[in-house]
Amino acid sequence: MAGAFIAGVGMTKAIASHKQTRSELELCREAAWSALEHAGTNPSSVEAVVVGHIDGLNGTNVGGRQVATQLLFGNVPVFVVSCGGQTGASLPFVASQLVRSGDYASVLCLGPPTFDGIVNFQKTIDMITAGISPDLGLGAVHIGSIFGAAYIQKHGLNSEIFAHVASKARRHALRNHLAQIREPLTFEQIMATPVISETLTLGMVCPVSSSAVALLVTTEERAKRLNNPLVEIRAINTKTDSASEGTRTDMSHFGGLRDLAQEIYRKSEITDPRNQLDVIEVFTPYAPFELMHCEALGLCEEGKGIELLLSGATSAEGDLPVNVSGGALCSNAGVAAELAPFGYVALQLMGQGIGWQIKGARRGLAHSMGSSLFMGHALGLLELKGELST
Amino acid sequence: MSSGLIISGMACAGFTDEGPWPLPELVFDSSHAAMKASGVTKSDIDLSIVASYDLDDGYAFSNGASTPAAAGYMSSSYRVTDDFGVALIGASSAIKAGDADVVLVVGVNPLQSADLKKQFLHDELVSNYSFDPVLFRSVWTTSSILMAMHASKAIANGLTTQERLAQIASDEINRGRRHGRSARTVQVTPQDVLSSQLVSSPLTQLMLPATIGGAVAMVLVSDRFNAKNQRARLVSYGASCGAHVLSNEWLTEPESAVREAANLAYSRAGITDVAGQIDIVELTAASPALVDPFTEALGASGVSREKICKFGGVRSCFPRAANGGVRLLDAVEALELIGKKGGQAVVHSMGNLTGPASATHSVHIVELI
Repeated sequence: MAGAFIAGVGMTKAIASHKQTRSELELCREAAWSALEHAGTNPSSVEAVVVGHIDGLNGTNVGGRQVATQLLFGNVPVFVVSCGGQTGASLPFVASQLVRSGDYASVLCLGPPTFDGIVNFQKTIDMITAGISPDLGLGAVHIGSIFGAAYIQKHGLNSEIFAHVASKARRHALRNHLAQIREPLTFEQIMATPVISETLTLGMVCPVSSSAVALLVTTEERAKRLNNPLVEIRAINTKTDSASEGTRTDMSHFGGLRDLAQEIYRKSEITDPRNQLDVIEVFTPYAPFELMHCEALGLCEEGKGIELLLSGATSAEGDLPVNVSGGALCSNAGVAAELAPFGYVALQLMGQGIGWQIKGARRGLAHSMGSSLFMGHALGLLELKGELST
Repeated sequence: MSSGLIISGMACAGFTDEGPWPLPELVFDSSHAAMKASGVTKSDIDLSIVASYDLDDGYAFSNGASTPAAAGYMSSSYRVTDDFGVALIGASSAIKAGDADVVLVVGVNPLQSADLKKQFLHDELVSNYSFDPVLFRSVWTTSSILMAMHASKAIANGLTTQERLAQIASDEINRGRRHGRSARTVQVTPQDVLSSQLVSSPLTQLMLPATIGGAVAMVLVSDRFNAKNQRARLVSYGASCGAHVLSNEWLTEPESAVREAANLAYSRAGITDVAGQIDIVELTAASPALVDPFTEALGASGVSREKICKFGGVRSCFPRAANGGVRLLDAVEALELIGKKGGQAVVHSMGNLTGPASATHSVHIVELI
């Protein structure tokens, strides 16, 4: 079966959403054209667009298609994907199937900024559970803290461990010129930031950012004719848990991601992820999630994520760097930030890492998650095919 | 896995004058019925794709409520905020890519009010929200307004008349009024159409799509799956997107994207003589002024009228995001009525949030097994 390859990556610099002076269209155009330029091709080569969108957060209903049809790609079909926070990584999932079906040779994935036009975030969040459960006034950060609380309770830990995650992200982002937050914070400084929701201080929570991300996904034949080393989407899929808190009885782990990872590993012949993977970017809007993700990905046992982190293995200088971009703790523009892990990992495998370059990286995981109660996960395994030219 | 695409089961839920319905129940009921018709269980489903709009569903992140109900719990899934026909392309791609043997596709429109007037205003508001906030939303642009401007231009250019539009609408409504999914069950005359509430001149209420609540689910399988029940085969598809509203394509040549999608679908299916090879035509012409241009763009001008929108098309039944599912179901049922194995239908569908502007048109060729 033919493969799908990431041939170009385009990302705009993330800044605070309330300081953004450029429109969603301008950001998307810059990201899209950067991806095409990076690949060494032009708009006429794009045969379809897969664009992400989150209604209620974006300012225009199904506005992704309005953006996509203003990028001068002609009358190519536009696929608007909307799965809450799972949206970003679902874009390359859909794009890879369109490419591998043989019907499209070149598909652009477009991750617009999500929070630039938002009027009432809480109202939107309240409407997630409309008709299912009472309006609890919960925000995403509260849900994040519930996971954090369940995690430390189950494993007999305390919330200080999350400060280590945040401190690492800040250090990584220092070198990433595309990140919004590039100020180092020590463990002590993070612990000293205000508590946002019990278990989470401000320093452990993502910013609200504005940026756009685009990926060009092509056939192998097309990718070979373009600029970059061949990075294949070796395996990619999604997994959806329940949106009902009544059926999510254990929020100390992400069982959906654990099952999904096993499937991805099986498809890509990974038997020892701890030693066979070289770089990982996981969607971590709240610090506890990185530890829970590492455990779900089989990099360590449950409850041992903090030991893995403190060992230095997941730092940029370690043997399995996680979120060397700084991740969502340093830039979270919604759909753009959910797609970004694929861009960052692809660039690492191309030998073009931003800020840090993981030496000899050949295989990486990219992930995003979200929607109601963080029910949805999307995970892809990217692999360098052939050798990098020296 | 292989690339043959079989429609193994199709079913719907809703489509009565009851409602609104809870979103998950519509999705679950239609999914369950389609899986039963197909003879598959949840464990057989490799991928679930839902087509719906948050603002129609009444939930934020409504995929959270709909996906588990579409057999997507702890399995592979995604949601498109577009027409069922677009979701079906995703399903076809997944099978052709070798990622899936069984895909469940669901389109749903639960309605937000049992009062048709309130529902119409809701739909107009949603449409208005779907336009650019600065240039178009502020002057109350909606899909109905765009279509009225297109119809006005067609009349001004002598291509049609308001009476002719009323005749097309009444013919379609009367053709579909006895069908089980029809939202308009009373016989009407062209005069009734002209006398109905003016929405935006020259278009009246009965000229516009008949919004109805409901869900359509389809089990699409690869030909290697050996499904117990095989109802029809998806032969090919084409897709193309209408240009942005700023381009004026919606006014001057809204059929452009339909033609491009149809040509691709016909080319892939090896269809060279539409009138000779196609037995049924289903199209989504949200205004009667779009019927002739879309029919021509589908290459179906030579097809006799009774073969086009056999059950009244969108003026009988328009469940918004589920529209493509109903159009496909109508086409398959019409082929079954003819009873000719190997009979083929062309099915055009699109969403109507912003009329033909920025809308992805899908054209599927389906063949009776």
